[in-house]
Amino acid sequence: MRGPRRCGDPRDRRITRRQVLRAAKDAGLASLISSWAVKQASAAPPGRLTWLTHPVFGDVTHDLLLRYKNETGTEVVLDKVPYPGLREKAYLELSSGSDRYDLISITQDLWTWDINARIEPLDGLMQSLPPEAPSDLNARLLSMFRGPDGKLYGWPLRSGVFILHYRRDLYEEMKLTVPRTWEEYKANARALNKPPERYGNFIMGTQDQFAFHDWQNYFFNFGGKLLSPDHRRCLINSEQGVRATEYWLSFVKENLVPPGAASAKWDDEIAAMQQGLAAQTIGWSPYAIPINDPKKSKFSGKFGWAVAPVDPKSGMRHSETFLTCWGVFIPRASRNKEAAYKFLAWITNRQNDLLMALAGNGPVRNSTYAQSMYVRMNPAAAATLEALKYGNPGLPPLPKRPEITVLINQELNAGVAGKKTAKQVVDDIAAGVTRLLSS
Amino acid sequence: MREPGIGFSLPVYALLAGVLVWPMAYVFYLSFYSFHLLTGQMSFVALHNYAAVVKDATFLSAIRNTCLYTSASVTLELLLGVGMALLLHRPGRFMAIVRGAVIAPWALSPVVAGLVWRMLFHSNYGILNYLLSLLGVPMGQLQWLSTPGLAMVAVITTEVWQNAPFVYVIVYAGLQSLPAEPEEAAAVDGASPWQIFRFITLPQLVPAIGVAGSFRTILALREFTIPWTVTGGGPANATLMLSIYLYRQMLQFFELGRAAAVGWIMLLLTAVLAAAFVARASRPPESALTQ
Repeated sequence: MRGPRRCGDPRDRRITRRQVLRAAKDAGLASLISSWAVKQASAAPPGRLTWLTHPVFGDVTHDLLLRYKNETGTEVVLDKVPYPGLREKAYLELSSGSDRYDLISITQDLWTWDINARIEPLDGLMQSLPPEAPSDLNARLLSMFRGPDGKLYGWPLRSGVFILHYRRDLYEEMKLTVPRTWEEYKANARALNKPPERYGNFIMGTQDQFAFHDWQNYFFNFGGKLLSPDHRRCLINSEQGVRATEYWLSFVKENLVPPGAASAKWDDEIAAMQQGLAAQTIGWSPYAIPINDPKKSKFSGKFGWAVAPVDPKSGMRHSETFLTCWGVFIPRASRNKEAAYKFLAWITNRQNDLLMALAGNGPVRNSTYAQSMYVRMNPAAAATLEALKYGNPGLPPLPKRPEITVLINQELNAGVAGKKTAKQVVDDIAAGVTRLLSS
Repeated sequence: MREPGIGFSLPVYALLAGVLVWPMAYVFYLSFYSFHLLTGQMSFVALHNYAAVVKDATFLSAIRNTCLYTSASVTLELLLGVGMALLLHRPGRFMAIVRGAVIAPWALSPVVAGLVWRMLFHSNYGILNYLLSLLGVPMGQLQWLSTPGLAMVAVITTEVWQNAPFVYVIVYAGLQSLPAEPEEAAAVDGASPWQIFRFITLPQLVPAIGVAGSFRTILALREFTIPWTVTGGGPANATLMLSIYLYRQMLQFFELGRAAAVGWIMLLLTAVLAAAFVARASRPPESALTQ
């Protein structure tokens, strides 16, 4: 029961309903104003470009960004996010129609066409503001960023193709020749194999995109095709697919690769070559630089590079390995589209492509590969340019590509882990991919 | 009679409804739709998402892995945590330092813990295989992260290493609050140390162990960071947890409807197991004192 009120009774200090409503109204207004202010502040103002990208571009563009600011007054601010968060963030930003970023980088193999409606096509900008020497830009790389409508959606910025990295000193010592066929490659691997100190090959068999990256180099060079031309059927379980997968897995079965292939990634591959644990591998071309880095590698100056071998039965005239490239996309919601494009054209002009390449980037201009400064810095340049001509970007950017990629990786990894035979692997991939394509 | 404080609680209820009830309800609603984030297309599919998920062999394997991971890691964490609490619940010269040191793994970020253990388990450069090589096991013989069974051992080890200190902290606090008299009386009556522990200390610790166990069960069921950083769910999906499966649906495939269905299945699974734990923990302890 309530007693009589006295002076200082807490009930006298009750907050009235009107006060609560007023406070709620004020709080609502404040949150509306602050959300508007945050949105305004997050969009890049004129004179500043925001770029969502991978940390590697911080290293290769650092000096150029300072120069660009001095020359044009435009500051380019990098928001560096490593994988896999980068793709997620990029897609969430694009799909939400956010104007937070003017430039977004992802690799071509992670781009899907269903986001194109949120990306600014670059053809119009290219026509009104042509880049320096457009014919020097690698046509194969540019074609990788064209949508099904023929429009150019991404600008190539960092290229890479798989090539053969081998220990030249050991080849010379054992009188081995650079392999042109898979049979020769296997023979070299057996000759070089001296476990547990050294293994004749290295494969990345981990359960993420690297198993698929690695396997494709063998698959394409056995003459395999991933999909039918209408993209409705998976052709991986063809005769070539079975042979390529059996061949790829045979390195694990015969202990010709270091232990742990089912969890081996790109960094393990680089470390194995630097430390001498692997004597040859089919690896990404930009890895030639860290593999040969005198500060990090025990065998710097002792490596050689060439295009990957092929299967003579496939009738292929050229080595065809997995080609991937970082592209930069301009969101349709960006308020600085023209300035963003100008920056892309500038950073990939002849001089800057070379400067980025000297800082460790994979060039996107053909002329850079012939520059003596670059060839001195990267002795794999000639092999890379040759491999680029016939590089295969793999799956087209179909909306189901992420699911297909996960499925293929999963199955290949099961093969490397010894849970499935090569035939089971390719049959399960074909069934799963065909099901996804028809869904 | 109307409660005078109800008006003041309303903002809290409103906040909870906004950040908890509404999102849960919306996720439940989404689980009946096919909704792809990038295309924005949304169509009603009734129970199709649930049916598709339940029929997916990868999902079933993720459930198996999650149950194995949770049961093994929580059991080991409880054993180790209780053991550490009993060991460190005694006076000693450097006990304060030791007590601080044993909770250090718990203070570490799970990403860092996962990456460190990934290196420790590395087949060719890992310290674990190096130590084993000193005992005569050839380097690289044990492929911790590439052999399905061993990969599960690796993720459970990392999980236990990081989270056993949490159990220790809870049980240690429980031990601190126990009265000393019953143990002293039992000792006077001639009870052995084991009998004192089994019939006096342990029954009184059951509520603390129950709390620690239910927390660890809930957290282990949804654990993502450690399996993701140590093995990425491989090899051959041997360490693929429900959380990784959900992550793929949500942020790799952007299939929000299917992700919502997986989220609700996970929630129900967690609720059932947590309820079982809470029910067990809230039972009155059976001890010599209450008999």
